[in-house]
Amino acid sequence: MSEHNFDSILDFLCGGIMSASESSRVRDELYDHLMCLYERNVSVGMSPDAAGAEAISSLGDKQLLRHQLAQVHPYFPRLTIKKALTMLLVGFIFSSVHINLFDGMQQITQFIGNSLMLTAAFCMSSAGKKPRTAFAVRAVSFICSVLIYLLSPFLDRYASANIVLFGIQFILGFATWFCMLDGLRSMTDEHICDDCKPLRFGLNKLLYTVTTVPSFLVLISSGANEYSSSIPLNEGIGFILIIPFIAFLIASVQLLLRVNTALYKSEHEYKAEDRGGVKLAFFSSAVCLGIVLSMLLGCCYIRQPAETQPYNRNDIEMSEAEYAGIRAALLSYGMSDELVATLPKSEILQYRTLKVNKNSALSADLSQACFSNNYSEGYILNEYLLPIEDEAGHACIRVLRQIRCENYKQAQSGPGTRAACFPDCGKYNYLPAQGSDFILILKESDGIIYSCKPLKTYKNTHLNVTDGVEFSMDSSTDFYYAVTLALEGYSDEVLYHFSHKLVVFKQPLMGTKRSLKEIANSQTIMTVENPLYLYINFYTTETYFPDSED
Amino acid sequence: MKISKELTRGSNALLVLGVISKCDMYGYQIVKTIETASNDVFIMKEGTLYPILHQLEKDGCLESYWCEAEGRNRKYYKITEKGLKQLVRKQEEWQVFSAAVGKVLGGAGLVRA
Repeated sequence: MSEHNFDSILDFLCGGIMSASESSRVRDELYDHLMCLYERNVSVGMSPDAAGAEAISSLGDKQLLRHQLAQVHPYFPRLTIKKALTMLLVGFIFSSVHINLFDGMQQITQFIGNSLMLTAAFCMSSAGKKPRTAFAVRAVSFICSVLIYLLSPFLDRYASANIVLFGIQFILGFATWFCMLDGLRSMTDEHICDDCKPLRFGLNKLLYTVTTVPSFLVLISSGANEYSSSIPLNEGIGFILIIPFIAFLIASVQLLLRVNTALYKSEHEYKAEDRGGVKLAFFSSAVCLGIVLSMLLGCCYIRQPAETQPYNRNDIEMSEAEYAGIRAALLSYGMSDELVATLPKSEILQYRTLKVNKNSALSADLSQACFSNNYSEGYILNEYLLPIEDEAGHACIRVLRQIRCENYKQAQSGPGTRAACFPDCGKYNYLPAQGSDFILILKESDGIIYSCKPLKTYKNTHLNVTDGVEFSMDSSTDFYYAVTLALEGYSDEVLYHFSHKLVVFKQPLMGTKRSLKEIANSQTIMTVENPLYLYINFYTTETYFPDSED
Repeated sequence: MKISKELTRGSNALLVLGVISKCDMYGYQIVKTIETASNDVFIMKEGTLYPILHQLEKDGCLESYWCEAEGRNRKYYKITEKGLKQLVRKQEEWQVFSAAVGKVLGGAGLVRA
């Protein structure tokens, strides 16, 4: 009797074993067994055909044997796919929710999240073409995020390239989920049964949920978890975004559990990769390597010392009387004597049209409201909005910001810095408004004041529509900048800058007229990244300008 | 005398471990050895044997290796330390069970003429 005569029965018996290698080994073993029976039958005088048939018959209940073999070799989706989906969801949570309870926590959670998601996508990649596509998409998305990180020093100069990469990453993040869920739906479609009907409904519902607007926001953070658009739970907006996020997770978990239940009941078997731990270790290493590479390249790229020069505050000629008049005006707005004494005379001259503030109530309000905000990233921000006139006599506000590094470690790790790449550098975004002028950076070292050139300036960095500057930073770094904002004739772009945060986060306040104190006391307002946006947008010349001597 | 499946189900793993503990064997050999040793009382179908063998192997009670015999690959099973401990435990269980069944049946006089 030739070998191939047992092929069909062996195919049937081993058909339930999902692992190709295990199936092959069981097949060899059963073949040997059948051949032993066959040879015995032939030896007692049976014809080859009868001996073969008898050998097959002696196996007993074939269906039962097939089922039991499949059970003993459990490459079965109810285990592996369930694990993979669990990893996927946990990874999604880790990579999307950013909570900084300690230094570096955000990086750790992102690292864990990315590793888990990659592993999960890989484990599911064997289950079908679409899950395989999902893994490929996720892998490309990860590579894309590493590239963005690696190339960020270069990309900062090309906002459009940055936006394109960000867009690609977002689309890939979305596509990952879609392919994964659509793949699961396809798997159940192949063997639609009564048990699967509610499942199909559930998957459709899940897909629908994913594509609805609330989840869209969540997917943005999934697709762009390298960026600040991720969900910051520790900020006000996080609590708004977290609602659809939690809804999405609950719906996902519930429906994915139903997927497993239905797959289990339907007895349709799909191959999925096992040994998730090994894969997790592999992808964790890959993610870790990517991060290390990013850091190495970043450090190599710019690790230059700040270019300092002696600071000369007497950079222009100014009479004592004029200086004293301007100084008095500046002090009336709550500016400290120390700060005034530090400013160069060229900056002092900018305030020659400044009137002394006689409205003590407003002054107190302003001081409480915005002039001494504790900056949450390790800086203390003192902001002064000073009404002046430009050379043509138009009303302007010159915004002078003094930024003092209070917590060096926190300042380095804050989202406004590039500490991950450049350990000794800070980065600060500022408005490219009319007349904007990044005036100076002062570094106080051993009581001596130096003027430092910015390491690098940016135009329209990242997705923010602000310009930025990188500066050398150490534990005693203070810096100042001033921007003149004309109260008329903003360009559309600048108006967008002002209203951007408000439109998204603070819409209820649009068009209302509230006192600065009211606004300042509103907790939601205090989460606005830059209070300047708010004041400029809502307070016209009449409502803002304090009573003057005139 | 044919023994019902329900009665033998719990002792199949014990029988398999018992015969393999004497020497390394392959599937067909195990079936034949059990048949011969039991005077054809225990006729183990392949549908029963292989899932038990594979499960015992997965549990670490058996190890396997491949040899070429009669021009084919043949899988031999070998008992492990864990398998030997399992065998001793199952034997003890079986003795307790068997003695208890004997006592119940004999002592209660359930068999009537």
